[in-house]
Amino acid sequence: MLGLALLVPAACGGGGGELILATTTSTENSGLLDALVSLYEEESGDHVKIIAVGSGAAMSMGERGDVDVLLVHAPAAELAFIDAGYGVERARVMFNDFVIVGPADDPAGITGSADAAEAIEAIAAAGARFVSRGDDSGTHAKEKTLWGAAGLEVPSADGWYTESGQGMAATLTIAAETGAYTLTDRATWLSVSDSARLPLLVEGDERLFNVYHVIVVSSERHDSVNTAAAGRFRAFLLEPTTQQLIGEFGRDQYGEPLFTPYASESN
Amino acid sequence: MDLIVDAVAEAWRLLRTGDNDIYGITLRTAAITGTSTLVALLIGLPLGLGLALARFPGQRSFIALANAGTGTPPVVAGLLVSIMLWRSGPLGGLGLIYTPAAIVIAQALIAAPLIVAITAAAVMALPPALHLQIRAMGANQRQYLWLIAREARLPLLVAIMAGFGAVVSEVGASMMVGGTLAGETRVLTTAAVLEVSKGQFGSALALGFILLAFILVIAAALTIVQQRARRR
Amino acid sequence: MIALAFRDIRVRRGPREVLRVPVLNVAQGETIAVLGPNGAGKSTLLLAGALLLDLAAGDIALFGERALDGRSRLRQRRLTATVFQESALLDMSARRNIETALALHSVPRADRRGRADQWLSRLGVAHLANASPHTLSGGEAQRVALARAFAIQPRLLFLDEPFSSLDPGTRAELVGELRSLLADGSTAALFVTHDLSEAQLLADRVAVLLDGDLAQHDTVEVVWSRPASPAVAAFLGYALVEPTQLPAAVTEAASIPANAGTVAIRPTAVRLSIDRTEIGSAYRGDASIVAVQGAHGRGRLLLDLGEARIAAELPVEEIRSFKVGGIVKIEIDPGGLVSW
Repeated sequence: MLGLALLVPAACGGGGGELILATTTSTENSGLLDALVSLYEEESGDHVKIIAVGSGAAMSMGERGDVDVLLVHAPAAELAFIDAGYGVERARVMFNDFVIVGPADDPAGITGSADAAEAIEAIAAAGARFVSRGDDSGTHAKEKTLWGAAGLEVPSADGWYTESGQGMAATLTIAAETGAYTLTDRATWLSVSDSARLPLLVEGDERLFNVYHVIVVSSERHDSVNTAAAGRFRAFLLEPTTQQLIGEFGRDQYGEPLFTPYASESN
Repeated sequence: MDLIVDAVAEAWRLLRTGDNDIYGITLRTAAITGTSTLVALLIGLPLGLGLALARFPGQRSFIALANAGTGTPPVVAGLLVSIMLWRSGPLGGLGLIYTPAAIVIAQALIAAPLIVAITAAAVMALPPALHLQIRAMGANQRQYLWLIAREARLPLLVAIMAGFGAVVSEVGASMMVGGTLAGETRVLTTAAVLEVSKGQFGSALALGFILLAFILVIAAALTIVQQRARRR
Repeated sequence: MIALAFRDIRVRRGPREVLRVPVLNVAQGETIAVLGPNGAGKSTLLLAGALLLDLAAGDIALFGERALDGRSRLRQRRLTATVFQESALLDMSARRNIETALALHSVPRADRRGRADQWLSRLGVAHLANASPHTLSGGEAQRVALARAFAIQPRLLFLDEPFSSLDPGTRAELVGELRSLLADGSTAALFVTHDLSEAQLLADRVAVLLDGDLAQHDTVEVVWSRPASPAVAAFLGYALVEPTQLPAAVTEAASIPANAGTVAIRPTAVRLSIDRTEIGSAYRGDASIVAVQGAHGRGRLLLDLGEARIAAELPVEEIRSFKVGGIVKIEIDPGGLVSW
């Protein structure tokens, strides 16, 4: 009976509209999205369902019209998504950066390097262990561009190069346990408990720039998409107050904010 | 080892402070798994009885199917249900994806074959003369089915326990169809996995302990019922 | 009024026809024993009569009403009770078993316990009212099964070898119990057995089934002393011989017709003679022992008499003194010979 009572309200959808947001595991795990969404729900009366999957999975759900709005960080894939007509009204929201982390003894000798492509080349040359996301996420996409920039093929997954197929925190755990290098976004690295075991080795390369965009899913292909609520959410993310919140988030807990506001209506 | 000690402390803290919606999550887990087990029972018991008692061509194949169903990977069930319930799917219009109802559907699908297979086996193991005797005692079809089910009550209780065990520990399908949304579809298993994916192993273990305690309580209750049924 | 009437019934199991009975009636209050070897169709006949299996052809009528399918069949079934060989007691206390049967017969809830206890008492198992079936011995379980059957006051009772799996002492007790339960003639009974002494004690008439056919249907005395065919005689334990195989003196004393094809000798008709004056028309002669056998508490000597092989029954304690090859003097009571 309790079960039936719990089942009913979810089906009703609450006061406003129902919005399904697909986003990356890094924004979810950092806690930023929970903070933003609860504020948004209060203000708008919409009911938001956050589905955290990789950027690739988020976009394929958008292609099927199973979600209303995306918050992702895989620029090349996003552009293809828009071009194919699945998404509209893409806007920049925030950025942070990727960093390369690894074992404290740094067998590939990349500590302090400002060249991410060189660093990754050095890891391959040393045959040092490296864990990749391997899951079509934004982080995985970034890693692949680095291999390209280094003039190398993406290594095959046997021996020193492995693919976890999992989220960033799980991948960091694997890296810490096996003494491996990995590419990670700064926010997740800061928020995961055993980051002390996995020091930051490479940062600052402009290629490590990680920008997040919000995309409204087009209702032309599927009219089940809640474009009204999606538009409201997009506008909310770009609002100055929200942007300020983004800029402060994480400062108390980690000493530095996890993301930098970077809103722009166009692009 | 400290991780486990930390986890026990964390579990205690969660229960004491009610943090992280632990009570909400636990109640929701109870409600959802209870409902799934009930639905699976309502589907599985009659099917199992029918499979065992009726005579029809291909009966053996259906029994094999039920037995095979007990080994269905939950993630497959979750994927199938998702495909049906997504907006892009045939039942998308019902708006059930990412709701507790979706989890109940997926879990019931996982538990039902177990209940069918065990019920059918239990009824088929009854002595053949019993069926004749019950009919000879003047039972109509409904009374006959009730008495047969009653004769097989001990294995049927095992079926219930097995069905419940399958759903309460399930995470893959619940994750896929429920989305582990805070305050709505987050249950003890999916919450634990979420904590693991965030690297928060202490809280993950704590949730695990609470889940184990929950299972223990239910198992103890069912065992008491089972022992009473033995004596009646 | 006829309690149970079989007319031209045929029952098939798969492609095989396993039972053919043109006519068989059980009168109200009558007890009929169905005898026959294993596989003869006895249980099939019983299940057919209890409306528990489907006929390939023919009719069954209970108390004058033809048994059809559907609701009326259930109603007719409720006039009867059945006891099986392995007491099919439900997994609940003895008392509750009876109460369940009473509930199925729409006896009001308030009356059930009293009636259950009354019948448990009557069958001498009142102390087992709360016992679970697993804890009962074979005899106790069958007493409960009988109590459950009689508690619903059936007008027609079916028993399928109810005492076969019990030890002889318990068996004898329960046969006596059943006899007294049926004594008031309010219940007709059809019971299957392959024990002739049970039939002799309980039955008004006997139906002998051989290979699915009704071979003979008559009182116990008639079936026992004048079997209708060599096959029936063989089932009853008669020795079958050709007339020419017997010494002429025997066949003359028994007035066997010249054109008889087979002669059957009743087992009790052959006795070992002790030296005493000749009595009446008993034949006397020597026979040699071919085999020393025993079964069911009785001993048996297989003997060669002339060219015939016959059997003599003896108490089992006497049998041990005989050896194969020995010669014994026997008497044959010519009244114990039947011929066709």
